[in-house]
Amino acid sequence: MNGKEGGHIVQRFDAQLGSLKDLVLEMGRLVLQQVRDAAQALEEGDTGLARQVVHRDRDINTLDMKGQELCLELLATRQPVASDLRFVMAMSQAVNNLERAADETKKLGYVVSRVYGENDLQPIPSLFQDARHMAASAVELLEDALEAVEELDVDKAVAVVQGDEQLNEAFHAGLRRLATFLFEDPRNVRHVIEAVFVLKALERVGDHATNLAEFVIYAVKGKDVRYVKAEHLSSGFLDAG
Amino acid sequence: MSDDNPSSAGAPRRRTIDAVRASLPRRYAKERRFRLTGRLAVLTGLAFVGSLFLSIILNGYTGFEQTYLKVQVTFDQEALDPEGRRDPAALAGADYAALVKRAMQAAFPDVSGRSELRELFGMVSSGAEYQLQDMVKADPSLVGTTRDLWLIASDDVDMVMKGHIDRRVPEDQRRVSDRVLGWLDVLEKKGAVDTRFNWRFFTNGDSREPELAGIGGAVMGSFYTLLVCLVISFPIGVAAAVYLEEFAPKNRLTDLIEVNINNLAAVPSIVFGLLGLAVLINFFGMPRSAPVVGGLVLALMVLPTIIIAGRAALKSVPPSIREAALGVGASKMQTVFHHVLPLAMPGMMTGMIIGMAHALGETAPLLMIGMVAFVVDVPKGFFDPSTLLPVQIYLWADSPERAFVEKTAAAIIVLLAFLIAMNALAVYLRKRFERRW
Amino acid sequence: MNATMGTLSDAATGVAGRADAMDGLRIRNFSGTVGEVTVANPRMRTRGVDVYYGDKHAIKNVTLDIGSNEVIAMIGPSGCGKSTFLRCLNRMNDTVEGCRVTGHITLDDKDVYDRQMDPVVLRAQVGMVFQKPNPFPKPIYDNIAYGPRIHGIAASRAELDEIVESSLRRAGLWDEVKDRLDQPGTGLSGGQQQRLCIARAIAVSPEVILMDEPCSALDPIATAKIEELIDELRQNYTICIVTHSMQQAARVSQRTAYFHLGDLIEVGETTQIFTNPRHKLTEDYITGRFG
Ligand SMILES: Nc1ncnc2c1ncn2[C@@H]1O[C@H](COP(=O)(O)OP(=O)(O)O)[C@@H](O)[C@H]1O
Ligand SMILES: [Mg+2]
Repeated sequence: MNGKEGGHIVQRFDAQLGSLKDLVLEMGRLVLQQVRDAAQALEEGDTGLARQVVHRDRDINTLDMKGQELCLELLATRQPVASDLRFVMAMSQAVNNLERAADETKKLGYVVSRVYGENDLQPIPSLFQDARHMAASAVELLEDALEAVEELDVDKAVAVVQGDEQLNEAFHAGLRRLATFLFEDPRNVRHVIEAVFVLKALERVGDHATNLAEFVIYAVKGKDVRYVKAEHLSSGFLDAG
Repeated sequence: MSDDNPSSAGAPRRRTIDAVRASLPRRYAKERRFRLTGRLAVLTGLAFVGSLFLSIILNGYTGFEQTYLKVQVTFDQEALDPEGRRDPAALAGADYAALVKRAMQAAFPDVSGRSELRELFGMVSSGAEYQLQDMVKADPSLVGTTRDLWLIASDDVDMVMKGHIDRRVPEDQRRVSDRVLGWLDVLEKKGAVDTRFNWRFFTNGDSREPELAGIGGAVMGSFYTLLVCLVISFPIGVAAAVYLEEFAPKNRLTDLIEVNINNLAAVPSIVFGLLGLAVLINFFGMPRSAPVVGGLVLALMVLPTIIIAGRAALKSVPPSIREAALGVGASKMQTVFHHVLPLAMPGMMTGMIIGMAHALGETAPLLMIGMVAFVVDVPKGFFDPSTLLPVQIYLWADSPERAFVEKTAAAIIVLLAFLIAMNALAVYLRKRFERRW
Repeated sequence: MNATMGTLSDAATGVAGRADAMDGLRIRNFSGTVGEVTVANPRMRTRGVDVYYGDKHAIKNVTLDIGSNEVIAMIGPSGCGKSTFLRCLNRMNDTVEGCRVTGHITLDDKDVYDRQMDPVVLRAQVGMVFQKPNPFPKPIYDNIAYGPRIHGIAASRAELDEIVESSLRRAGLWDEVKDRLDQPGTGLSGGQQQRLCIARAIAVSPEVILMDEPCSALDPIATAKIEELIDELRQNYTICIVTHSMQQAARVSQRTAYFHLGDLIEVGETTQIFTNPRHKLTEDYITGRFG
């Protein structure tokens, strides 16, 4: 879309749009790394890694600010319209969402520090079993969403939106399973609460990935699909007037 | 700067500058040469015009003066009005020439012999008797009195006084004899010779006698002719220009008309004279030598100029003005007459004045319609035989008398003054009413 | 297809008994314009309008309604025929040698190109403001009074004075010029001149005002004043504005029409055109991808 072919007459405009996208992708990769590291820290009880995750959130905040500045600059100097306007708006939202996704990973880092840092009581090994699965799904979702951003590919974006349903289901299944831990032994309650935080955070990461995908659809098709049921999304629906 | 090392890092840029520097003197020299040629061209032109003006003025300024001789004239009762009834008819018919002769003889009583007497009488113009006649007509009580009067000198005396006849030339090659020169010296010593401003030059018609000839008739002839020309060509020219420019459809016919108008502007003017002769005089039987005919012919001649100038003036009115008027719902006609024409008027007037100046200076077509006749009387109307300034100049230039040389030049000065005044008026109008959009 | 469009537009207007009026407005074939060309309360309608300059086909089968009290902006690259289309609406093209207009254009259901329609009457109803401010080189007063005078709108001098004042007031120029009504209009600044031209146009109380790039010679402040004026005039007039500035179209208009090489490519709500145009050409043009 922002390639040489069919690009703007003002090539610097293309370059600016390209660098905005690059920034979003870079931020996305960082967030992806955060999710992966947080998941790993959780898996291995690695408080050091967890601290790193918490620490790296600052880099993402910096990128967030840079991204918003870039969007503002584009709006102020280029007055984009139509697809350009939608693209800039979408990227602005994407930056925002990625930052919030990163916040969720920070929460994960805190949970790991709390759970494994106070050396009194180790959680039951199977407590974070669902978290493991959900983390894997969230990572996959985020990867796909970033790919959709990179290629501005509506089909991939639709797949992400629809994939989020599974993550949501996994979240609810996880919650149900955590309830059983409470019945088993009420002393688990502290860890179960932490686990709920973890599941919730991972579910939120998935939501942010979905938002990313929805902004891709908005940028390309000009349709706001945030409140459209995922199963209604089809190319036929998207192309209709 | 130019002595910098060319192989340094900034080499390419330096080289450009060096190249520019190197070529600079050549370019400036070229420019200077061009300016010089231009100035020379302008100077040459100015020199030609200047020498022309100078020669005309040097030749002509004396034409505005005339020599007078003071003579004691006796208005003899016996000769003028023997019956003493002061009858105007009788007074008018009296022999004033005899009075002049007697007065001259009285001034030089010792002159005798027929040829000497004729030379003596020849010193005063033949117009002197009319001078006396006019005086008596104006004041019959002069009869019986004796007065010192300034009488018009003949052209030969005039020429001597103005130095156009050289006294050092041997007598047999000179128009004026030694005797006459002697008498003239006598008169001069008495203070009886004077040169005065020549009013007659502006009021008299043509004459065989240079000292009596004036451009009054020609100026009036030109005036009547130009008036006819103006009255006919301006409305027709403006109407044609407006119609062709604003209303006429653009098709073959109007193209043809346009081409022909342009061609007409380039037609030799004598052709218009032939047309006037053939159509106006021979076919319609209009009088020869009359300002109407001249005016009509000149109108035909200047019409193309006026139409072309008028169209140019209309074209120069920006289309945005037309659109503005049409946009508020003015009709085509209202647009043209409320907005376009007023804005084009100064340009049209300029064209008109230039056309008139052109007409004023035109001779050739007038020759064809008989306006080249020798007309003594100042014309009083559009149908009187008359001549025009340039034709008058042409006629005088053809006359053999030495005194007509200065008359010719003087008439040219007058004509040029008119032309310059008209062109100045055109420039003034253009400047005064010029609008910027 | 003809009948389809006829009924479609009837349905859109929601007025019964329009069929006879629409008879003359049959659409020869569908123009292929993207978006809704008809509106509920049209002031002017064009149906299958073609314009030729000699052999050049400058406007191709354009069908478009211009709604009452709306500002419709015409955008498109240079030479695409925006001005040509605009000038069809008040028959300004009549004055252009070799220009031929076919199709139907109506103003309040009266055929504009009808034999009975006098262009002078039409132009009193459809005023025009041009790209370059073109006040008459006459006093400001006479500039405004000219239209009412030739149409005989004012019965007395006092009435004429009133028209002049109210027109200048509505054009937001009164306070700036009220002390120098006798000075030439050409002595004003560019923006003032253009507002004078707008005042001149509204002095004859037209129904529609056509504006052909009215701000292209003005600085941003003067432009803003004109845009504010357009916004106010919308209460009483229908305004068609041709503009080269996409931002201006976005700012002042409710509907936007995009022309391309004589075709009307797309019409739509201005916000829709500028956020989500449906035609690729529109998109490429407004985002600056053209060429
Ligand atoms: N008077 C004319 N004679 C011939 N062609 C014209 C004339 N006016 C405009 N055109 C042509 O018609 C096309 C549309 O012109 P115009 O309506 O002025 O475009 P726009 O206003 O969109 O820039 C252009 O290609 C132009 O060359
Ligand atoms: Mg235009």
